[in-house]
Amino acid sequence: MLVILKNDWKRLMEEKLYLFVSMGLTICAVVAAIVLTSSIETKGNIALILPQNQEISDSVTQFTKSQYFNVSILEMAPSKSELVQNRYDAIVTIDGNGAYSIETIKSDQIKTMIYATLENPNTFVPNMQSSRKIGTNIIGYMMMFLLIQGVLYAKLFADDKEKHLIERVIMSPIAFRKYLFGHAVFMIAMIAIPTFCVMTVAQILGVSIGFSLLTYGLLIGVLAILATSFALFLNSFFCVADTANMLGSSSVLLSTILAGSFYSFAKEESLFDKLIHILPQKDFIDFTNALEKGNLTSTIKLELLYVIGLSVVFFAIAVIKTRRDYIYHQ
Amino acid sequence: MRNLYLISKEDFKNLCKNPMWLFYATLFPILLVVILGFLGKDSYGSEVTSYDYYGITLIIYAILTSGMTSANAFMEITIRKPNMRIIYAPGNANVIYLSKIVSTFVFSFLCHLFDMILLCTIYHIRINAIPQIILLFGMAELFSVGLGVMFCCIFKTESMANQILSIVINLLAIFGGLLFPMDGYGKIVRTISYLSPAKWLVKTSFSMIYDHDFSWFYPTIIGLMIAIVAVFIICNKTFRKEDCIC
Repeated sequence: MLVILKNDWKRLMEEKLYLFVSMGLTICAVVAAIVLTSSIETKGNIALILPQNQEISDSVTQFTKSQYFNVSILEMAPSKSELVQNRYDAIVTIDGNGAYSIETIKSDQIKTMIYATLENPNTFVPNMQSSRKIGTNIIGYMMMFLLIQGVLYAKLFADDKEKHLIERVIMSPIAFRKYLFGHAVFMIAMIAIPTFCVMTVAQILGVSIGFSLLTYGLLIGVLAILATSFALFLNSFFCVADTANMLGSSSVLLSTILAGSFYSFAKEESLFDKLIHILPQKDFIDFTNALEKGNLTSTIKLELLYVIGLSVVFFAIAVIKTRRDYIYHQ
Repeated sequence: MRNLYLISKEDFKNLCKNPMWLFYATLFPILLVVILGFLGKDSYGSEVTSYDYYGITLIIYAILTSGMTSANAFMEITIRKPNMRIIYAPGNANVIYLSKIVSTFVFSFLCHLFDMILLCTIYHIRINAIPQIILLFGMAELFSVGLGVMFCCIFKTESMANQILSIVINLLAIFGGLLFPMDGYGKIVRTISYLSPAKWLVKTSFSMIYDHDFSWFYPTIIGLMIAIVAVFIICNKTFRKEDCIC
């Protein structure tokens, strides 16, 4: 196994440009995740249209100072494309008599909510239950890139298959289990170490990252294990690196978005919501969320176990599949 | 010119033969729109649906990812030997990469056009200024296809070009608000998002569709033209025919 590790390292050092660029991009992605999450404001954006020299009533003044809304006062109504792009959630127009009208492309629920706020700005409290904290957001943004990284570093294994090196490996006394495990350890290290370093730097620089470094280490470790085993699993089915690569990155992208790692889509308990729990990303993000809010229940711990279990299953399938492909059975 | 046409035709056939690329160019964008549109339904109302948003942005995303198809078409294992033969043939060796750009452009653009038409008929996605939109998307397609080939020329191996492209494209897509709207997340995020070319494409298309406002159209087209020329120049400078020998 150590031989494999050493060999992998030597092979990557041969392609220094590749190594540096992929490391650089990992670092970029993680930095982007931190920057994005720390600068995101999840207030509602409202455009308030006031004709010039218009007296502002008390409730409207209080409304503009509301801590739940980001109210910008404009003279001209913003164009509709800005509404579509979510720049503003709603446009509130106040005419000469002090009466107001609300225009939004969103659901009626939001309309009634804004009406309620305009009527009595002080008593209005939205339900903030669903919102996530910093740590979960950072993990959510990072997740997709880490999983794609897994597909990226599986290149060494794919190369072995594509260039028929693996047939020579079979002739050597090493067991398949150990051979794949060696690759896996190498990949996990390559994914987790740069990410963790960026986190450490962020911590030292005093950026608020939500969790302690130790927790981050563990979470990143689990993600790296999942990414690695998924990539090996996928590569064991294809002999061409490109096919595995394209299929891998597109399926990672789809499933990660579906799991709501960027923002949570599913709001109410539905059958669909439960089905999504099949995706390990969903379980992982749920676990992170619960961990940050401090309400770990036994079901949520089971979800983490599911993620790890699934990685083990992926790895086992990869071993069995490659063994079946390359060892002659009677 | 005739050489270019002949080689492009063969490349085009080669692209159509691979089921993975057909899936990636045709089915994948549709799947993305269906899934994201379904998920995002709650945050949009009845007048402008989530399909109206994602139908446009995800097609732009698909256009950006077509760079990966061109990178594959350029340096895939099975295409290396034919490439080598072209070097020894009389004529200009530049047709190797030019033909890849042309064939992938035609292939992806046809697939995406088909996607657009299908999605518009299923979900009644609101669309206006169709000639301008097609011109815009076509130029974007040419740019991203060229970008894929350019990465191949620079890094000399296809797998590396591909992997780097996939991360770069995803970063651009997230910052540009292609996968979910970014504009509502405060001033800093909004400023960052304008760094991404994807954002300009989104902004231009939406202001054309919803406001009939063409003020963003010409600057974006000119920007794309400059980018395309730059990509072609870099390809020309970095492409060495010796790299095709295998």
